[in-house]
Amino acid sequence: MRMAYLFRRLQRTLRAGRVSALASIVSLSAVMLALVVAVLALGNARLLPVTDVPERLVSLLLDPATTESELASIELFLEGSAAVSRFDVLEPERVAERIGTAGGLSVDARQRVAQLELPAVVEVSLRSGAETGPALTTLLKQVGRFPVVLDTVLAEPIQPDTGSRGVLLWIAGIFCLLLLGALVVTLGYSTQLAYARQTQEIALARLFGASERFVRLPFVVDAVVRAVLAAVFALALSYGLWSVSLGPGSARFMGERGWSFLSIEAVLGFIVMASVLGWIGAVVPLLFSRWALGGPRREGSAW
Amino acid sequence: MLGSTESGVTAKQRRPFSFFRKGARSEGSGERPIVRASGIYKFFGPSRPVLRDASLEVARNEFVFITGPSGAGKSTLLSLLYRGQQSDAGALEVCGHDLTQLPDSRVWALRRHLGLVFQDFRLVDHWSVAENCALPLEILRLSGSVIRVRVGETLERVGLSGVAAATARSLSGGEKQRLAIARAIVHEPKLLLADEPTGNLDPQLSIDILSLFEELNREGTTVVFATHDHALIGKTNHRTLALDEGVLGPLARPRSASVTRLVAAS
Ligand SMILES: Nc1ncnc2c1ncn2[C@@H]1O[C@H](COP(=O)(O)OP(=O)(O)OP(=O)(O)O)[C@@H](O)[C@H]1O
Ligand SMILES: [Mg+2]
Repeated sequence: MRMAYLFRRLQRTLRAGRVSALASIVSLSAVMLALVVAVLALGNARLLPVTDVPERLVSLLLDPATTESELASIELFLEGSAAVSRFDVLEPERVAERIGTAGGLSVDARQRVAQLELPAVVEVSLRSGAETGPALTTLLKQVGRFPVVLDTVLAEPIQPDTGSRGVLLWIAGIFCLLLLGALVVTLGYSTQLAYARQTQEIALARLFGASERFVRLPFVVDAVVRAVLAAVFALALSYGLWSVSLGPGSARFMGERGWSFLSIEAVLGFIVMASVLGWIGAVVPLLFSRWALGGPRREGSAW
Repeated sequence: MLGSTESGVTAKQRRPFSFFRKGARSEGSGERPIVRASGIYKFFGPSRPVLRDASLEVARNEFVFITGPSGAGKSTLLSLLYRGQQSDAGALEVCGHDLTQLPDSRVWALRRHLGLVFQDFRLVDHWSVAENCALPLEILRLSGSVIRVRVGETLERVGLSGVAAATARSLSGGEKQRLAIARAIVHEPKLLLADEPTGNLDPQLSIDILSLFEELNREGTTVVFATHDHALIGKTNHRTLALDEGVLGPLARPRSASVTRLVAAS
């Protein structure tokens, strides 16, 4: 038995929903991007797989071959970590100045730096209590040709979170909500237009004995297709944006560490966001399919 | 103009699709009327009911005309039979389904037994003639090849095989009417509810359609034929019911010319 009619209706539903499916994908991706941008901007993405270490200060000694853009991407990369509170590039001479000051290098660390005779030092301050350290060290060793000196002597006072971050978070949240509202309207309107053509044939199908399940199935499939497409696009776009934001140097990180370069929280976060958006992309068209499905059996309706 | 059908087919051959009508009630005793309505009321406003205490029994295999002036409630009565609307009072049983109890979710099981010809055709304009005709078969989920053959035969029967690929929009009024008829009979329904199926046809074509319905009736389809075409009714001697002021009763048949002459001569 071939379900010819069902198949044809599915085709028609998908064809009718083409433009609105595109609208779903575009608007869902826009929301996803807004979320990712907000997260990146707030520096809250826990991008590093950070684990158990009490160190407060790490110094990286730079290789002369390291380019500006590589440096920039390493910086962005480290600043994206919640564990990192400051990132500085120091001339070797300035390293001496830092000795004995809060956040400065210990004598021991300074001697090791001097022995290495490298042109510059990158100082990365980790947050107190942040569980980083060896994991970060290993990562940086893997990633580059950089010797790393781990210094545990001096603590840097932790900068308390300023209120501005909270305000930013609110602004980003409201912006995302507005975008979500716009998304629902766009989706709803375009689905309604797409489904309007089918009201007649649905009413007719019912008059000739089509069951509810039979009538609704194409709409459900349409919604699922939209949802999956929207989620996949949103996921791909946000990952793309995030990796582009790391700059050219990121290729090296990615190449060596693959997906594990992202912390498990970040990966899960992206997937959850994409699923939520995909879910919206399915529910909204389904809500509006009721408009096309409504009423042929109601009294006084046209058919 | 209309194609003829083979005679001498077995009951099984005549109703090859009954297997696909899952969810159908068993027919029970063959003697039970296919339509049994009593004390039906239908109101559209608080004042005057469109149907008042209407009672109707249609036996299996019967051919019944329902007539009455425009606005008498013929279409309303038919729509109660296919559960397009629900009656406000009374008992109604069609094809073994008690329509006063039948939940909305089970209406499809009733409708798979019915062939409906609507007064306003209700074709899907942007579909082809063949697609429109195939709808009831597709709902029964028959295979594409069976559908193609069956649609071809049926369109041939109503004289539309030449325009199978045209869109329904492009048909003339009479052609649309015939397409509506083809769609109603393509799945060989047990009960054919035809609302003014000859309203847009010329007299000769009306007679052709009537004989097509009679042929289906002989093959086992029960026909309820609503029309105000008394000339057409006069050509047969099927039971005729008239609706007037909401009351359904037997029609006092106008005597045919020959009878009048006989009476006058005596
Ligand atoms: N949905 C409705 N709402 C209000 N009134 C209605 C509705 N359907 C039918 N009526 C009224 O019920 C009456 C009977 O209508 P119906 O269509 O059954 O008549 P009919 O006998 O089929 O007439 P015709 O021969 O013109 O087709 C009419 O007066 C009509 O106005
Ligand atoms: Mg009518």
